[in-house]
This record gives sequence, C-alpha cells and structure tokens, in this order.
Amino acid sequence: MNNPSFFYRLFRPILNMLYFFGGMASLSFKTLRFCFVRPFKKEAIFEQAEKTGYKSLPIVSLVSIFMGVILALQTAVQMQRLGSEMYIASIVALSIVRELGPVITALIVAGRSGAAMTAELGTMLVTEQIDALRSMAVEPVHYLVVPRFIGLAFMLPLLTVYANVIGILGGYLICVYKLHISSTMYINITLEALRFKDIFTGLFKSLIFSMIIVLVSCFEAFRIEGGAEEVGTATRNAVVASFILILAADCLFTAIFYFIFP
Amino acid sequence: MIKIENLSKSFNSLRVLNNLSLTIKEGETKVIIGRSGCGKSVLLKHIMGLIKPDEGSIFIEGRDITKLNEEELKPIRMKMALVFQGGALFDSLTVAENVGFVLKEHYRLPKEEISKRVSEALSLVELDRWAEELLPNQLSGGMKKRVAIARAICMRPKIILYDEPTTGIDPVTADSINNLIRNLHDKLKVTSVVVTHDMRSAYKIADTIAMLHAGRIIYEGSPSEIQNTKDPIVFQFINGFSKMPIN
Repeated sequence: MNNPSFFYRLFRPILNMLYFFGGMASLSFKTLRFCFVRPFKKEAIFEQAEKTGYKSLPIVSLVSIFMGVILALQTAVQMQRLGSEMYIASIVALSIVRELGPVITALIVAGRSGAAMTAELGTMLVTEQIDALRSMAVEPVHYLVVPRFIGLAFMLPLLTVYANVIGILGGYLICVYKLHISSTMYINITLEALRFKDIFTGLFKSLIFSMIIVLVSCFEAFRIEGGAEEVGTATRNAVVASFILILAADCLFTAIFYFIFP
Repeated sequence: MIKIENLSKSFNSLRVLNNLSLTIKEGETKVIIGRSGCGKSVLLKHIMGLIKPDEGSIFIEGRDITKLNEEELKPIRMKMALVFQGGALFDSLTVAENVGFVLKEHYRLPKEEISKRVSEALSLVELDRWAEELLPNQLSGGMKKRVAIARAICMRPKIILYDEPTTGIDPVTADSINNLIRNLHDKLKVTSVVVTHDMRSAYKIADTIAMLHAGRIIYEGSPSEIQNTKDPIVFQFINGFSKMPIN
C-alpha cells in the first residue's frame, strides 16, 4: 500500500478526467473570449463551414434517408397490428426532429469533421506550426479554434434541419409507396404533429453538440506530446470523447426540456 | 540585448538546462554548438518565450520575459523571429502567404504592399517569383529553409533565432544558407542566435561560438579561439572524435 505507483495507478483515471474537464473549461472560455476579438476571420469561418457542413451533405443525406426508412418500417410493424398506420407519420417526424436528427447528425460530423480537426491540428502541433504561430505573436486559439467553432455552430443546426427533412422524406417513401397512405395525409399529419418547441429543442441541442465537437477535437489535438502515433491516439480519443459527451448532453438537455416544456 | 541568467529546465526527471547563463550583444551572431539532444532547441524556445523555465531569467532589451504572460509577450515576439528546424511552414498556405503571414495578421497593409514585401524577402533568400504560388509540400528541404528565413525577415525583426539551419540539406545548399545568414546579418544588422552542430557552418557565420554541454555553457570564444582550444570536451566535439570525454 505504501508503493506510490499503486496510488498513481489508482488515481490516474480520476486525475486524467479532472485534467480533461479543466482543460476543456479553459479552452471554452478562451474560445468564447476570442470570438469577440478582432480581426474576425470571415474567410476562415466560411472555409470551415464549407469543410464541416457543405461537404458533409452526401453522408448526412445517405444516413438520414436510411434512418427515416428504417424508423418507418419498424414503426409500421407495430402500428399495423393496432390498425393505426396513420400515426407512423407523426412518430417518424417527432422521433427524427426531437432526437435522431440532431444526435445522428452530430455523431456523423464528430466522426467525419471532428476527427479531421484533431488530425490536422495535431499534425500542426508535432511539426511545430503551432509554435510558429505563437512565435509570430498569433494566438492559436484565435487563429485555429475560433473559425472552426463559429463555422460549425452555424452549420450543424443547418445540417440537422436538412437531416430532418431527408429523414422525414425516407418515412414518406415507405408510407406512401409501401403502405399506401396518401401523400397529402402523410404531409398533413407530419405538419400537425410538429410544434415549434420540437424544432427548437432539436436545433438547440445541435448547437451544443457543435460546441462539444470542436472543443473536444481541438483540446485533444493541443494536448499531444509526441509524434505521429500520438496524433492517431488523440484522433481516436477525440471521436470517443465527442460521442460520449454528445450522448450525455443529449440526455441532460432532453431531461431539462422535458421539465420546461412538458 | 539578450541576457540569460541561471536558466534551468527539466522534462520529467531529465534536467536539460542546468543553471545556464549567456549574454548575446546587439548586432552579434552567436552560434551555440552542442551534441544532438543537449538542449539547444529548448534554449531557443526559451528565448522566444515558447517554454517557461523552472528557474532563471531571460532579459530581452531589459525585460525579463520569463515573468510575462502570452499577451505581454506579443510585442516582444514582434521584434523577434524564429526559423524552425523543419521550417514549420503552414501546409495549407502558399509560399507567398507563408512569407506574408505576419504582415497580413498584424499590419493592415494593402495587398500590393504585402506582395512587394514578400517579393523582396524572397529575393533576399534567392527564391524567384515562380515559387510564390507553390505549397510547402512541393518544396525541397533547402527551399523550405529559405522560405522559413524569408518569413522571418519579412517582419523585419531585430533578433533572428535559427534552429539548425543547415541540418538535413546538401553541402552546397548548406553553404548558400550560411552565406545568406551572414549577408542578412551584414545587410539588416540583426542580432542572430544560431544553434547547430555543423562546425563548418559555425565557423562561417559566427562572431562568437558557445558550446552547450550537460545543460550549461562550458566554453565561449571566437571561431579562431575555439579551433585552438585545449578544452578536451570542446576539442572532441569540434573535431568529431567518438572516443574521449564525451561518451
């Protein structure tokens, strides 16, 4: 018991977790502060918005349409037993807009763009490009993190709206062409089911998810100590941590909204 | 201009710098020699304020930079430039954008003025205009070093720090980089600190040479003095003998 390595092994996961959350908090404050510091990097923000948002459209489209189709088919099995096929449209719409759209889109972007951010910034770190920025009196958080943060904060909610529409379209295809529910009825039931709070809560969560993705990805890159192997490890850690924090935040905000908008 | 007093730095349990003291005069080219891994690059990063020491002070124009935070360091860093060993050019920017980076970030100069200053800097390092639109991954090792030097001089610094400027390039290119560093010193009157283990380079560009060994400066003198030294460690290093005091 007196062996210090025993305590080190025992407390290391806790210390790592404290270091992670402390570092994340520090990076969050710094990023929010630099969002309002000149010069504003419009070009870099548009570039990041294009990289993380526009270029994610194909994969988001594919996953969303599958999501809508699968959800409609699975719901149809149960609803047909009850003779309530007309409710499929509202179940699909609410499930996608409230939960699946924001969460699945965030997970896709975390895997695609978050991993790319960690790999890119990590490589910059190990090749001394981050030190070069500092040596030229340029703050790396201002130059590298802020454009990614603002770019994704705009693009993830937009991607989520797009994923919602495509997901509902997937459900529409199954209901109209397989279950022979009329097109007008499907659209009307969907529009009747959706309320402002459903759309708002989904988009609010996607904004929080965008912050998680950028801050986790950049933080993991900035704490690399080593070479190329470390970049790979950091990229994997960033994706895993983003996934866990996205789902935890989803759980938290779903519970909060449940009590605010019962 | 630069005064280092009792600087110490450890990484984990390894003491890399151990009570190191060194003075670099204004307009001087000081070459710091020493074996690979002896802490030369760490020393340069301390001078630039990129690493905080465990103990000791570094005075630049009379201000102790070890006591300053990142924000307070900015005006001092604007007077200095560091040429990294691998160039540390920004992968996503062209040569011209890399060279003009500081001008774009810190000075609100018109595009034409930036372009003119970039061309001037590139011509000083003997690179033609055609290279301006290339990306760093399209450059050879020697060209990368030249672009890194051009980026450093574009901001017209008072102090330039060079980290192994001739390592990993052929002897002919290395000699032209030595000439370049010497010319920049003569033309721009900058204070230069060069770390290297290339003795040919050290003799060519140095006003004074200091040897770093076991975390401290063990010898300082002019190129001619160091060539006639009786110090066994310095003698072994400058002549490249594998067996003697340095194991």
